[in-house]
Amino acid sequence: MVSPSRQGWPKPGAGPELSRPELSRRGLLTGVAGAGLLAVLAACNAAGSAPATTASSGAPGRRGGVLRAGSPPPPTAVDPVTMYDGSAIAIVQLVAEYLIWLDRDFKLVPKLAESWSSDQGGKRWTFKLRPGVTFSDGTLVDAAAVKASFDRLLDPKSKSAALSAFESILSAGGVSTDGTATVTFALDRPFSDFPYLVSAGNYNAVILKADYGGDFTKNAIGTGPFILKSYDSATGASLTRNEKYWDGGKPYLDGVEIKFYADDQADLLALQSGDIDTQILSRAALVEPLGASGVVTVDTVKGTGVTVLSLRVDQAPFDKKEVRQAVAYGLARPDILQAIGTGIGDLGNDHLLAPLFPAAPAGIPQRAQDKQKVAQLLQAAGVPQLSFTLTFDPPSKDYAVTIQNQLEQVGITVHLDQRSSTDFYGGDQAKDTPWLFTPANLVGWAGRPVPSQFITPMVKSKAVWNGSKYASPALDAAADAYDRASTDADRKAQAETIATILHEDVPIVIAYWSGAVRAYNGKKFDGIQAHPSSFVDFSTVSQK
Amino acid sequence: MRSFLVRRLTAIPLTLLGVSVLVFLATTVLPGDVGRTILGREASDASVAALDHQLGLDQPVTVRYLRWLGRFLTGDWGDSYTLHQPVTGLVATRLENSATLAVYTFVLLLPVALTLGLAAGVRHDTLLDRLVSGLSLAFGATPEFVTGVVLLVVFAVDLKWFPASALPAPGDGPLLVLWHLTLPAVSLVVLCTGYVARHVRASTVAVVEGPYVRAARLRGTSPAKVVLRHVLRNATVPATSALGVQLQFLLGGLVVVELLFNYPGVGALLLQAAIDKDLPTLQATAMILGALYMAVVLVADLAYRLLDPRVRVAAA
Amino acid sequence: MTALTAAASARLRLRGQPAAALAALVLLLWVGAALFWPHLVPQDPALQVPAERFRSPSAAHWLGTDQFGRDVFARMLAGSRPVLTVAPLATALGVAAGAAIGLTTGTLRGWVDDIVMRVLDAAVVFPAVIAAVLFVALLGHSTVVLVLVIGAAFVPIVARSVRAATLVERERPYVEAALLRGEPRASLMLREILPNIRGTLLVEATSRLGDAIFAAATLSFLGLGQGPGSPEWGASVSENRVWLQLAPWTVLAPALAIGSLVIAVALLADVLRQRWDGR
Repeated sequence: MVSPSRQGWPKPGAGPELSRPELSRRGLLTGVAGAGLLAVLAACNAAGSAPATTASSGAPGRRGGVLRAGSPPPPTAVDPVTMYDGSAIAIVQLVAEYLIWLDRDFKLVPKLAESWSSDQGGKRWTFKLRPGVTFSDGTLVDAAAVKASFDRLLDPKSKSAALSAFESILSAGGVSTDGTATVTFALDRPFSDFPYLVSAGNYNAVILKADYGGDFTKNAIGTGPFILKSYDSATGASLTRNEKYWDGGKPYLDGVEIKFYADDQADLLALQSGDIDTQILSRAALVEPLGASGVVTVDTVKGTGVTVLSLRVDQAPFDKKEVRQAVAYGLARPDILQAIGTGIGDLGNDHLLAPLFPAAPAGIPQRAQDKQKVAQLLQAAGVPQLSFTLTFDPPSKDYAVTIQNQLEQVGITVHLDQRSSTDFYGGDQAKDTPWLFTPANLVGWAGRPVPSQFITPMVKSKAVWNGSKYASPALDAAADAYDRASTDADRKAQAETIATILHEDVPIVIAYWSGAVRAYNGKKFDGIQAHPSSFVDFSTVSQK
Repeated sequence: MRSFLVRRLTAIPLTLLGVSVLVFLATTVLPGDVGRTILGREASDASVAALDHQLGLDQPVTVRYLRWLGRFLTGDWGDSYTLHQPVTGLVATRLENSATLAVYTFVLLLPVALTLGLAAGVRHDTLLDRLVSGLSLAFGATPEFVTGVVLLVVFAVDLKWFPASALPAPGDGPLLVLWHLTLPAVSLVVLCTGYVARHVRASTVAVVEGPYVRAARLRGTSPAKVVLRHVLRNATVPATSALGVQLQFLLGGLVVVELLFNYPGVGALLLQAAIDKDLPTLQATAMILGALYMAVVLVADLAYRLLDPRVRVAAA
Repeated sequence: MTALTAAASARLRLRGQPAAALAALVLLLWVGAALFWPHLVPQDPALQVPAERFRSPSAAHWLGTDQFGRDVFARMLAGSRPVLTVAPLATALGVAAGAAIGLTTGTLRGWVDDIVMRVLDAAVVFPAVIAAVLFVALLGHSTVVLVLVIGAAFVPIVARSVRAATLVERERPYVEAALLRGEPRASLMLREILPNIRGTLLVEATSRLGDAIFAAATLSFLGLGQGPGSPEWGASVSENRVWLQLAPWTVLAPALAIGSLVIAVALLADVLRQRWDGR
C-alpha cells in the first residue's frame, strides 16, 4: 500500500533554480540594449541630420486576424519606467512608442521623432517631433510630453534602469523644450551615440503622457499600434488595433493576445499544438530543432548578447595574467557556440568589440583551445594545478557545465556554485553582491549596439559593474577617446587599442556572441521577425 | 468528542502562529534583496535602498513581524512586493484555480478508484485482484512529472486531443476549462487512484468475508445485489478517510503539476513567492494552505471517529 | 542497502513470490550500478562530445546521447548513485530521529507528549517548499542538504506512528511489570518497548525508503538536487523534457529508471509489510 506519508512530498519541491522562465530568461534582457551600428551613425553623426523616412517596409499586408503570442509572465509589475524583463517590454512596446525605433539590424528608425541633429561637438542634441501624432486618448504628442517622459526616467527617485544608461551622459534637468515640436538634450559630456540612448535600445524610454501615474496596466495610454484592453499578471494581456494609429494603414492585425506560460515546455508545446502563433522570447536551443523539422518557422538574427566569464584580477589565483590566459586557452569556442549558442552568433575573442560592431578590429588572432599552452602558462605562473569555483545563476547553467567539462580536459578543475537569481544579483553592489564579487562568475548581458555601453560599465577602472575589478589607465584613456572620436578611422584605431589590451589582459573571457531567434507559425502569419534584443514590432505582421 | 474538537480547534490558530513565525524567520535569512528583485540588477544601490525603505524592509525583524501580524489579523494582507497586487485577490484567484483542478481530479478519481477497488475486493485473490493491486502500487509509486510528460507528448503534441496548456483562454466556458484541465488532472489521478483503490479493496474484502455478506449469501440474494447494497455502503466509509488523506496529497502534488502544465495555481504561487522573498504573498499562501491542510486532517479524523465501521457493526 | 536487500530476500523465501523476486533483482541491479558504475559505463557520463549531439540509440550509444553529446546510458547508470545515497541516508535520519521522538513521547506521555506532538503538527503544516528553498539557498546544492530536507520531512510521520505503537505497548502487562520492578524509564524504553515495536520500525523504514526515492527524484526534478551537471534522474527528466519529441530517449531512460527503482522498492515494502502483518 502506498503510504500517505508522501502527502507532503510533491510540495517540498521547488527551488531557486527551478526552470522558471522569468528567471532564466531575465538575463536576456537585463541591460540597456542601447545604441546601434556605427555605419548608421555616420548618417546622423556629429552635426549631421537624420534621415526622415518612416519605418514602412514592403507591400501592405492583409487586414484582420488576431495574433496569439506566448511569453513568460513578467516577474514584476508591467511599468515602462522600471521594467526590465522581456514580457513586460514587449507588452509596452505594442502600446507605446519611442522617439526612435531600433530595428533588427540595429538601424535607427524615426518614430515619434522625425529627425535629429547635434552641435557643440556632440554635447547638445535636438529632436524634431513628428507632427499630428496623438495618444490613444486623443491628446497630441508635444514636446512637453516628451520632456516629461525623460524627466521621469532621470529623476533619481524613479528607480529606473534607464538611469544607469544615462549615467555620466545625461542628468536630471538636461531636457528642455523649444516650442511644441522640438526637444533639446544638453549632455554632461560629448557622446556621439546619443540617439541610441533615446531609442528603443534604452527600452524604458517610451513616450507617455505627462501625467502618467504608474498604473500602466490599468490605464495604458500610448501612441503605439495596439491598445491594451485587459491585463492579468497570471494569464496574459489582450490588445486591440489602435484605429487612430499615425502610420497609415497599420497595424494589419485586429489584435494581439499575449498568453503567459510559466514554463518553457508549455510555451513550446503551445506553439507546436497551435495554441499560440508565436513566442515573444524564443530560446534558440529549444526552437532550432523544430525549425529544421518544419514544425514551426524560426527566424534568426545575429546579435551582441554575451555571457561574460569575469575573473577577479585582484585576488589569487587570477591576479596572475598567465592564469587568466590559461583559462581562455582552455575553452573550445566553436563547440561552445554550437552547443550553448545553437550555432547562431559569432566566436568571441576575449574583448568587447563584437564582430558585428563596424569598429571591430580584424588583426587580433582568434584564440582557440590549446592544451600545451595552458600547461605552459600555468607552469609560468607557478600554479600547475589550477582549481577554482565558478558562480552563476540558472540562465548560465548549461554554459557553466560546458566550461567545467572543457577545462577538465586541459587539467583545470572547476567547482560549480549555482545560486538563485535573487541571491546572485542581491546584496550591495559596492561591497558584496555575488555577481560582482565572486572570484569567477558568469553574467549574461543583453545585446548592446555600441561597444561603449559594454566597455564603460564593465572594464573601466572602478566602473559600476566591473566584476573583475580590472583597472588599466591605458584602457580608460582609449575608452574615453573612443567616445569622443569624430571620425571612423579614429574610432577604429581606439577600438583596436581597447581590444588588444583586453585580449592580452583577459579580465573577462568571451567565448561567443549570441544571436536571437523567434519561432512562429509561418503557415498562418507573415512579417514576424527575430530581434537581437527580443523586441517586438507587430505593426507589420499580417495573416496569410 | 467535544473536548477532542475543542482541543483540535484551538490548536489550529496556535499552529498557524508558529508557522507564520517560521516563515518570517525563513525570509529574513534567505539571501537576496526584495528591492533588487523588483528593480533588476541594473538599478542603482540608492534606488534599491529607497524602495526597501518604502516597503519598510529596513526595519528590525520584530517590528516588521508585529506590524505584519497586526495588519494580517485585521484583514489587511498587504500588496505583493513583486506583482503590485493586493495579496487577498491574488491568493483567492490562485486558490480558486487550484481548487478547480483538485475537485476535477477528485471527480475523475472517485469512480475509477471505487470500481477498481470493489472489483478487486469482490474477486480477491484472483488474477484480476493481483493485477489491480500491482498496477495501483506501480502507478502510485511513479512521480507525477513522469506520467505528466508522457501524457503531454501523447495527447497534446501527437494526438492533439487536449491542449498543451492547462489554462483556457479568457472567457472560455466551463466545458473548455475542464478540457484544458484534463491532462493535469489525469496525471494526478494516475498517482492517487492506487492508494484509494487499495483502501476500498481492503474494506471490501473485510465486508465480503464478514457476517453481513455471508448471511446474505445464505438467504440466496444475488451477489450483484450484495455488492451494491452492502459492500458499497460499508466499504466506502473508510474509503472517505483515505480520500481525505489524498486531498492533502493533492495539495502537495499541485506544485509539480501546476509547473508542468503552466497552471497559475496556489502551489506555483507559493513557490515563486519563496524564490522572490515576496513576504506578504508567501505568508498569506502559507497561512491559507496550512489552515486548509489542518481542516482536512480534522475532517478526516472526525469522519474516521464517527464512521468507523467496527463501531457501527458493534452497535448493530 | 545491500545488507537490507539481502536480508529481505532471504526472509521472503522468494520462490513463491515472482513479483517480489523480480523487484529484488531490479533493486540489486540498481545497487550494483550505484556501487560499480565507474567500471560499467562505456564512457565518462560527464564527457561532452559536441559532434555527437542528440544521437538516437545505437551500438555505440545504447541509449543515445543528449544535448551535449553525453552518453545517456552512462548517465542513467551514474544517476543511480545519488538517489541510492540520498534515499537510505534520509530514511535512516528520518526513522532514527522520528523513532527517538515517538518512543520518548509515547513512553513519557503527559505534557511533554502534548507539546512535542503540537510542534510536530506545526512542522507538517510548514510549507516544505519554503523549507527546501531555504535549505538550498543557505547550504547550496549537495547530498547533505537533500538528506536533511527529506529526512526532516519524515520525522513527524515516523514519530507519529512510533508513538502510536509505543502507546499500545505501554498498556501491555510486561510494561506494567517493569514499572513495578522500578525499571528506569530509559531502560524501559530501550530494553522493553523498543524490541517490541521493531515491526513498526521495519515497516516504517521500508515505506519511507520508497518515499525517499520519490522525494529525491521530485526535488531533483524541481532543480533542488545536487546541482548542475549531476546525472541525477529527476534533473535529467526536467532538463531534457523540452526535447521529448526530438530525443525521447533522453527523457525516457531516466524516467524509466526512476519508475523501476521506485516500483521495486514499493513492491518489496508491500511484501515485507504483509509478512509482518501475517504473523
